[in-house]
Amino acid sequence: MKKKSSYINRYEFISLVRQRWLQFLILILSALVLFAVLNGKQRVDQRLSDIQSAQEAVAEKDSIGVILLDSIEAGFTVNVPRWYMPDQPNVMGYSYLRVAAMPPDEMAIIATGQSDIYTHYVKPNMYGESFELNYTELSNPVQLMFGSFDLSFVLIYLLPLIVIAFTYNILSQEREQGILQVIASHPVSVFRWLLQKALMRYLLLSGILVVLLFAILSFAGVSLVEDIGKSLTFIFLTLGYLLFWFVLACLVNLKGQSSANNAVWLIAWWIFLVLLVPSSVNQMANSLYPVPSRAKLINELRVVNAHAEEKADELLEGFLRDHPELAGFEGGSVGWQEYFATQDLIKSEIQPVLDEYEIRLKQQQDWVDQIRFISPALLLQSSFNEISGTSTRHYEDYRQQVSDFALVWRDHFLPMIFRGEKFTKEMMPGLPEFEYQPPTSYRLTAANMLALFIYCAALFMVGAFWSSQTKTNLLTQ
Amino acid sequence: MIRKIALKEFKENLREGRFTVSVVIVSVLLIMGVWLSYNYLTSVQKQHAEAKENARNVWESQDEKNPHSAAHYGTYAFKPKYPLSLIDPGVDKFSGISIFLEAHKRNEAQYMAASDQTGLARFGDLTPDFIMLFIIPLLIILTGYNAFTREIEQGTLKLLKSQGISSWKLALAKWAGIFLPVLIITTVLFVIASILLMNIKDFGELNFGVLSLMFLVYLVYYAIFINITLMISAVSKQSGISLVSLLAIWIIACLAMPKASSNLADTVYPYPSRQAFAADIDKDKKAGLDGHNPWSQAAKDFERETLEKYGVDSLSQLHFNFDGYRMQRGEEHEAQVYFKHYAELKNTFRNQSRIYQASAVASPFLPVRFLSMALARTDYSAHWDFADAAENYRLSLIDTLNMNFAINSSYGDWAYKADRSLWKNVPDFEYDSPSLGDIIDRNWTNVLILGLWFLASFAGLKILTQRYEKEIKLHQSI
Repeated sequence: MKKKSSYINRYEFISLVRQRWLQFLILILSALVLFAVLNGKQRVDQRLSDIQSAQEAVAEKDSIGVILLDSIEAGFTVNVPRWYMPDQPNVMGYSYLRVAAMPPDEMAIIATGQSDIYTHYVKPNMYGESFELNYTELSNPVQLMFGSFDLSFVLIYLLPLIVIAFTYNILSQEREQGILQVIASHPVSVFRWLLQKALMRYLLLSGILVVLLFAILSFAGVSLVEDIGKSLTFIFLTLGYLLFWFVLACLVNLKGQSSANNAVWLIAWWIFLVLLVPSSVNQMANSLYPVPSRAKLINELRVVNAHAEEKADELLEGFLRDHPELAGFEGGSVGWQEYFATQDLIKSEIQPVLDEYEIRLKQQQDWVDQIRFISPALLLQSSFNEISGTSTRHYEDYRQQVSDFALVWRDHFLPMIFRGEKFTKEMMPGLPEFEYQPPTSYRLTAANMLALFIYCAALFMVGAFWSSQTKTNLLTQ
Repeated sequence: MIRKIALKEFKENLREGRFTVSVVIVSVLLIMGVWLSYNYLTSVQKQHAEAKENARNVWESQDEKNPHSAAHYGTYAFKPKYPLSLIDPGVDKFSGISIFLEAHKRNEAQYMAASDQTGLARFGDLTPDFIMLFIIPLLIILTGYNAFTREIEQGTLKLLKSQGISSWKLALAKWAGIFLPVLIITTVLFVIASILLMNIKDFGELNFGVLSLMFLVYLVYYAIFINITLMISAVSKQSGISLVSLLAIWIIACLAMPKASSNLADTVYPYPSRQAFAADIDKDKKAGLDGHNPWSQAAKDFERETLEKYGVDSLSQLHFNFDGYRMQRGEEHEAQVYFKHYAELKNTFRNQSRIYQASAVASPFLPVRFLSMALARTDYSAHWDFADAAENYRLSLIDTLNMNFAINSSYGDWAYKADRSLWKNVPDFEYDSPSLGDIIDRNWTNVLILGLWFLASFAGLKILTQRYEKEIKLHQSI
C-alpha cells in the first residue's frame, strides 16, 4: 500500500511539473508575496521615519530650550517673548511636548489593518484634552477605500483563488479524461486516491508558501524566529486556511460534477465567505449597535462647554480663555486654578457622552467577535490584525495610554504653576516620557486556529461520508 | 438570425438553474443594499439637517462679546449627504463629516464614519455600488464563460455553422443574450432608486440627467466585461480554463489593481503625516504676522507701515482699532500659509489620481469606480470642493468679525463687545455641490479611458472571434 501511494505521489508530482503548474505556482506566489511584503515594508518604514523625525524635532527643540534656560539662569536677557520662555512651567507644558508614539510591531508588515486610518504619534499638551486629539491620519480616502495590497490581502483573498485554480478539476478532470475508470480498477478507493492527490498538492503548496514567506519576510528584515510563538501562529493560521480551501475543493469535486461546475461552485463559496459574509457582518453590527450621530455630538460638546464655562468665574473670561498661554504673565496662579477647574468640569460632563461611543463600538466588536466563526476569512483577518498590532483594539489601547500620559504630563506641571515656581535646566531630564506598552496577549488567535482546524475536520468527515455513499456515481456521472 | 440566437441564449440561461440562482441572489443583494443604503441616507440627512440648524442656533445665541472671541468660538460646517450616495456612497465613509471653522486655523474634516466601526469596515459595505461594481461582473462571467467553449464541448458548433452564421454575428448574438438580463437588473435597480430618490427632498430635476449618465457608465462597464468574457471563452479550449482565467482577470481588475495602484500612488506621491503637515504649517505661520503678538518683528513692521500709510504718529490716532486690523492682517497671512500647504496637498492628490488613471489601462474597474462616485458627488474631489468652500466661508466670517472689531472700537479697547445682532447678520454657510459640467470637466480622462476600453474590447472581440472561426475551419478540415 505504501508503495502504491508513493507511486501516486510520484506520478502526481511529475505531471504537475510537466503541466508547468509547479513553476507557475512558485512564480505567481513569489511575485504576490514579494509585492505585498514590499508594500508592507514601505508602510512600516514610513511609520518609523515619521516617528523618528518627530522625535528629532523634539530633541532639537529641547536643546534650544536648554540653551535658553542656561541664559536665563545665568541672568542674561533673552530675545524671546515671555510666552515662549521655557522657565515658565506652563510654556514647557504647552510647547516643549513629548512624542507619544506607537511604534510598529515587528510583524506589522503582515497586515495594514487600521494603520492607514490612524496616526502613530501625537503630542499631548497640558491644556488640550486627550479627546480633542485627532487620531485619524491625513490620507487620501480613495486609498482607504481600496485598501492596501498587503500580505493579509494576498493570503485571505488571493490564496483561496490559487487553491481553486489548482484543485477545481482535481477529480473531475480525471473523470473527464477517462482516467478515473482506470483508477477504479485498481485496489484503491476513489476517496483515498483523491486524498492522496489533494494531500500531495496541499503539502507542495504549503511547502512553497512557507519557504517563500520565510525567505521574503527575512529579506524584508522581519525575523520569524525572534518571537517564535507569533510566527508559528501566523504560519499555522495560513496553513489552516489553505487546508480549509483544499478540503472544500475536494468536497466539491466529490459531488461528481463537471470541472466547470466545480469551479462555479468554488467561486460561489469564495464570494460568499470572503466578500459577502464580512461585509454583511459589518453592516449588521452597525445596524444592531449603531454609534450615535457624531454630528449631534459636536453640538452636545458645545452645549456642555458653554455650560461649564458659565460656571467658571469671570477671571479667565474672553481673550485669556482662548489664549491660556498668555495667562502666566497677566494673572496669578488663581487664574490657573480656575482654568483647570473648568477643564475638569468640561471633561467630567463630556465623558459620559464620549463613553457612549466607546460602548457602542465595543458592543459592535464583541458581536463581531462572536459571529466571526461563520467565515474563515473573518477568523484570518482578525488574527492577522492582532498579530500585526494593527487591530482596532490596538489603536483603542494606544489612545487610552496617550490619554493617561496626557494626565501625567499635566500633573507634572500643575504644582509648579500653582506655586508660581520656575522651570529650571535641572528639571529637563526629569520630564515624563511616553512609552507605548503593546498588549501582551494575542486575543482570539488560539480560538481562531482551533476553529479553522475544526472546520477542516468537519468538512473532511462530510467528504468521507459522501464518498462511502456515492462511490459508484463518481465514475458514471 | 442574431435576434434568434440572442433569444435562444437568453432562454437557455433562464432554464439553467445556476443562472436563475445567481440572478435571484444578485437581486436579493441589490434590494438589501438599496434598502440599507436608503435607511442610512435618510437618517444621516436628518441628522445633518438637525446638526446644521443646531450649530446655527448655538452661533446666533452667543452673548455680547468681542467679535474676535466669537471668531475663536467658531462654528461648524456640515458636509451634506447627496441623494445619489444612495447608489454610490463612494469615499464618504472615509472622509470626515464636518469642519470646525475658527479664527487662525483651517481644520480638517473630522469624524470619519469608518473610525466608528470595527476593522471589518475595511471589507466593504453591502451597498448598491458594491453589487454593481463587483458582483454583476461576476454574474456576467458566470453566464458567459462557456458561451463558445460550450459549443465545442457539446458539438453544437457544427450545427450552428451549418446555418451559415459568421463567428462575429454569433458573438454579437451571444453578447446580446448576456447583456439582456444584466440590462434588466440594472434598469430595475435604477428605476427603484429614482422612485426612492424622488421621495427625498433635495432631489432636483437635473439629477435625473446625472442618474442617466451613471446608468450609462455602468452599462458600458458591463459591455466591456461581456466583451472580455466572450474573448476569453473564444480562445479557451475548455470551459473550466475559461472560467478560471476570467476569474483571474476579475480579481486583477476589481481587487488587485485598485489596491496595487493605491500602494504605488502612496509610494510615489506620499501624503505627509497629519503631525508633519501641521508642523510645517506652524513653521510658516510663525515666520509671518501673528495677530495676537504685537511684539514680533512682523508686527512692528506692519505697525510702521500702517502709521506711514495713514500719516499719523501713534496707533491711537488711527480712526480704527489697530488691534482688530492686525488680527485681520494676521488672519490673511495665516490664510495664505494654509492656502499654500493645502495647494501642495491637493497637488499630491492630483498626482495620485494620475497614477490611478494610468492603472486604469489594466483595469476597466478603475475609471468606472471613479466616474460613478464623481457623478454621485461622493468622490474625493467633491470632498475637496466642500472643504474649500468651508475655508472660503471661514475667511469671510473671520474677516467680518475682525473688521467689526477694528471699526467699532479704538486702539487698546479689548473690552469692546459686539451686539448680539452681529451673530445673526453674518450669513450662514451654504454649500452647493459642483455642477455636472464641473464633474465631467474634472473626469474627462476617466471618460476617455472608459471609452477606449469600450472600443478596444469590441475590437478585440471581433479579432478573436475571427481567429476562432479560422480554428474551427481548421478543426473541421481535419
